[in-house]
Amino acid sequence: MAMMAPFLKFGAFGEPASLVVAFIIGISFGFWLERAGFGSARKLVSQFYLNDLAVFKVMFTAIVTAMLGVTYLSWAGWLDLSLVYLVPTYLAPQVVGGLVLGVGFVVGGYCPGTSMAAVATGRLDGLAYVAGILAGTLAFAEAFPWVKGFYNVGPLGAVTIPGSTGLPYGVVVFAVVLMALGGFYGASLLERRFAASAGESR
Amino acid sequence: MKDWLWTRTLNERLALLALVLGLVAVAATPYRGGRAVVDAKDLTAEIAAGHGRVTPLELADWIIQDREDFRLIDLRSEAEFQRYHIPTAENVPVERLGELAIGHQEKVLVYAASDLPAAQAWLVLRSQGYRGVSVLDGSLGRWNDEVLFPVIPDGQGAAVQADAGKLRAVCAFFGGRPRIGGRDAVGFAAPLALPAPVAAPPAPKAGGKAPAVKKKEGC
Repeated sequence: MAMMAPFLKFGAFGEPASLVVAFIIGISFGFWLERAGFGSARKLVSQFYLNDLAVFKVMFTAIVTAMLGVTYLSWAGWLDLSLVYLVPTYLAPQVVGGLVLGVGFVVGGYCPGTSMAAVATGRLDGLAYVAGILAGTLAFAEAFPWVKGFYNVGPLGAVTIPGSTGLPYGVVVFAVVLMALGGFYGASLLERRFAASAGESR
Repeated sequence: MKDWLWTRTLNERLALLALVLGLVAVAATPYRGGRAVVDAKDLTAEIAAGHGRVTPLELADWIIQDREDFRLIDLRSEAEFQRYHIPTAENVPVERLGELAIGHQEKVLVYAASDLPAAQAWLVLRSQGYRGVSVLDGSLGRWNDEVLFPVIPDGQGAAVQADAGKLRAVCAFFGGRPRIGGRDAVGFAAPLALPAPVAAPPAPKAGGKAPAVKKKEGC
């Protein structure tokens, strides 16, 4: 049988080799984050001032690229989508977690991945941020017995848009592409507007 | 048209490509569908070699040893499952077989009320490329005969006694009742009552494994 993905679940390589693969993917993820300019807190935070929406555009581009890739690969029979791991949904804990991460992002100027890219390029604020991540992780682990109840509240399992709306998979794909293209257009309008007003206020 | 395309910026051309790919993808059906391909020769060889079969006593051993490297799937209806099922089994009624999410290397053992539905389900799963699927040989009938209500050999000799002792222990573990007296099975008058269902593991919903450990992923 021809090689099929996901490779680990089809036994193309074992657990130790999977760590090497994860390392390569992780390094390449960090490399491209840095190349997109995301090793700089200024660049990242300017998306919240709406004068540079590169983060939004890069992330949404990645989503659309991955989505189209996954769709076509599995359509061609090279990928078994039912074996791809989906993060289970826990609505309330994930909303709270998202807000905590968002506040940390605005205050610290990084998100976990970009802070690593910042450290790799020798930025001290990135180093402080990573120290904060480690301290926060430790605090969370120590406090886990108290937050455990909330952490596991409302498990919804692996939720997908086609699965919960009944829309055909391909229609959702197309809708997300349209959403992204609309978002890119809107983002460029916002950038023009807020870059202009930022210039005036100076 | 060609001139128009090449005077666009790279971003605009990429956006156009995404739009076209998205439009074509409307027709895409990426999830495992109804079609499956079987290597008949491969499968025949497997059947001839007797692969993919586990006897009730082997399964009983696995459960007693608390082995966790396999999943036991009960293909009967929910009502039958509630009445009695082999400990550690998950209920996936045969009509929901398509929603069963298993890894391609995962070891899965299926059983039903009798051999035929279990073997049919085995064929369906094997044809979908799941290599680790086995059938409980004799299904629930043989499980009853050999594990829950085994005929304990009566005879002298250390070997026979040891066998009898082991059978009794296995039978007691699963809450069954041995039949004493060998072939003519004279040991019991009361109708055989199935043991009360053990506390079932939280039956994972088909289509997704039990919400186990959360994995951390993100940017």
